[in-house]
Amino acid sequence: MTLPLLEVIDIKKYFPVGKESGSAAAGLVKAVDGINFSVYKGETLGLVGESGCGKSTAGRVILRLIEPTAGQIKFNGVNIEKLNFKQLLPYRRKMQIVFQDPYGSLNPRMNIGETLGEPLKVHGLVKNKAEMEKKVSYLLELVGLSPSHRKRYPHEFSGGQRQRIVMARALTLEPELIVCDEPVSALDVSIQAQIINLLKDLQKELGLTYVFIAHDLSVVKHISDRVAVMYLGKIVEISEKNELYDHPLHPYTQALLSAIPIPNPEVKKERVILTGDVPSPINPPSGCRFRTRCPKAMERCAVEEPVVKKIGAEHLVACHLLD
Amino acid sequence: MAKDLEIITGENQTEFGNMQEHTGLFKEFWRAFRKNRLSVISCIILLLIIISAVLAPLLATHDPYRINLAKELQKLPPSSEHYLGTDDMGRDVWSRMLYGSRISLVVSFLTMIISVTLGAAYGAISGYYGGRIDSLMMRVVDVLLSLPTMFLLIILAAFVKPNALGIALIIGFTSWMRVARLVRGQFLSLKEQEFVEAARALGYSNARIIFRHILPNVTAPIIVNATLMVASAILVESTLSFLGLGVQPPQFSWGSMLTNAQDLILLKEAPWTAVFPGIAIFLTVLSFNFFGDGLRDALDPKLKNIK
Repeated sequence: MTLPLLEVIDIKKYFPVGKESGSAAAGLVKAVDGINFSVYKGETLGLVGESGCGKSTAGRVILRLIEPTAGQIKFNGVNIEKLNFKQLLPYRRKMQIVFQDPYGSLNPRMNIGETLGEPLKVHGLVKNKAEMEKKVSYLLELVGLSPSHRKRYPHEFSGGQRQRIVMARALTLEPELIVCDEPVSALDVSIQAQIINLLKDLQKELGLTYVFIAHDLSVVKHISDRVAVMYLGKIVEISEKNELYDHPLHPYTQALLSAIPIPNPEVKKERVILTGDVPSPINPPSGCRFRTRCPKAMERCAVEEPVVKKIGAEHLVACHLLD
Repeated sequence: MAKDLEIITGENQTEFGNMQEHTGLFKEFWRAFRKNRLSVISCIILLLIIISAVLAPLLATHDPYRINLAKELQKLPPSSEHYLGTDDMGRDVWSRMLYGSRISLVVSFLTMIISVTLGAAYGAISGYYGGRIDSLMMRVVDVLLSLPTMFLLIILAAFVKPNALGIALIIGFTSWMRVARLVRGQFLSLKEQEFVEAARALGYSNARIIFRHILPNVTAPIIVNATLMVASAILVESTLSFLGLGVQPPQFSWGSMLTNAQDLILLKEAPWTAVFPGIAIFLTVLSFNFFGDGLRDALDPKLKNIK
C-alpha cells in the first residue's frame, strides 16, 4: 500500500467560549474531537456533515490556519503540526485552500494580476516581471478566464468568475493538495456544475488531490472517490463513494442519504426523519454522540462510545449496531 | 426546487448589491459627495485658504513682521491701505492673517500625519494579533484617554521646542488614541475575512498581511478621521498659542494673534485685531468638520441611499 499524501491522526480542536480576557474559559466547544483519515495522491476525499459539525474547522486545521489542540498532521510522511512559520513555508506551497464565499476571499483592493502575482513573488517562483505576467496569464487561461482580465478588480466579476480566480490563486504555488471548503455552495446552481467540472479537469491535468468539504451530498457523490461523514466533531463513517451511497451502515449516514431528493415524482422513497437539533458541541452527549437523535439507539449507546470498526476493505464505521 | 430558487435569488441579490456598491468607485463617491452642498462649499473654502497660505508672499500687502512705532500707524481701522486694519504695534492684520495661516495649517497637517500614522499602526497591531496583546494595548489607550488632554499638553509643552514640529508632536501624541481604536475595530472584523485566511495559507508574513492586505481596506474611515483630526488640531494649536505655549515670537499663528489681542483696552479700541483671526479659525475648523462629514457620508455605503 502506498503512503498517503495526507494523514490526519486524532486531531482535536477545542475553542474556549465565554472567555473574558485573562479569566478562565467557561467551557470548550469541541469543534473537532479526534478525527482520523488519510488522503491518497490524486484522489478526492469528500467530507460531509450538517452545519456546525466541524468539517470546515477540520479543513483549516489541516492547513494550520487554525492551530490544532492535539493530534498529528502528516504531509508526505512529515509531521507538520509543530513547524514554525519558516519551516512551514515549503508545505504552504504544497497545500492550498478554496473558500466558500467568493466575495470575501479576494482582496477588494487588489486587481487580479496583483492577487495572482503576489504569491509568485513572495515565494520567489519567478525571476522577473515578464515571467510573472506569463505565469499569471497561464493561470488565468487554466481556469477558463482571459489574460486580459488581470487589470480588473474583484468587484467586476461574477461569483463564478471569482471562484475561478480563487482557484487560480490556489494553483499559483503548484500545490499537491487543495482543501475545497464548500467551493460551490455560495454559487448559482447552473454555475456550480461549471466549477465542479473545472475542479475535475484541473485534477486530471495537474494530478491534484482534493479534500472536498460540502453539505450537498449529490455534489460530493459526483466529485469524490471516497467520502467521510462527520457528526458533531467526529467521523462516523468513511468509505469508497459507491459503497457508502449504496450501503450506508451508520444510522446518521442513512438519514442523510435518504434526504437526497430524487428528480422523479413517481418514485416513493423511504425517508429517515431525524428529530431534534444537533446537541451542543460544548456538552456533547455521553457515549455515542448521535444517540439523542438516532432512531435505533440502545442503552449501550449512552454508556459506551463506539469505536471505529473496519467493515470490508475500505469501509470504516463507528456504531454499536454492527457488533 | 424551492431551495434552488432561494439560492438563485439570494445569489442575484448579493451580486446586484455588490455591483452597485462598487461600480466606478470614484465616480460613485463624487456623486454622493456632490449631493451634500455644505461639504462642497467647505471644500472650496478650504482650497481657498490653503492656496492663500501658499501664495501669502504674493497676496500680502505689507511685511507682516514689521513693527511701526509711530502712533498714527497703530490700531488703524480697516481701509484700502490696510484691508483689515493694523494692530497695536502697527503691523498689517491682513498680511499677518495670511502668514499666520501657514503655521496653523502646517501644525495641524503635521499633527494629523503623526497621529494617523501612530494610531493606525498601533490599532492595526492590536486588532490583528488580538487576545492578550490587544487587551493590554487597549488598556494603555484607555489610560491615555482618561488623562485630561489640556493638562497633558501643558506638561508636554514644557519639554519640546516651541516650533511647528514640536507642537505637532505633542498634539499628535495626545490625539492618536481615537484613530487607534477605530483602526483596531476595523481590523478585528477584517481579519476574519477569507482573503486574510487565504493570505495566511499562501505563507505571507504578518507584516505583509497587515499592511498590504488589511490596511488598504481601512483607508476610507481613516481619511474621514484624518480630516476631522485636522480641524481639532487647528483648535488645539490655537488654544496652546493663546496660552503662550505655541510658536514663540516673532513666529506667529492665528492663535497667537488672538493672544496679542486679549488685552481689554485693545479689544475695545481695535476689535478687528481679534475678530479676524477668530473668524479665520472658526471658518477653517467648521469647513474641515463639514468636509469630514461629507466624506464620511459619501464613503459609507450604508448611509448612501438614505438621502
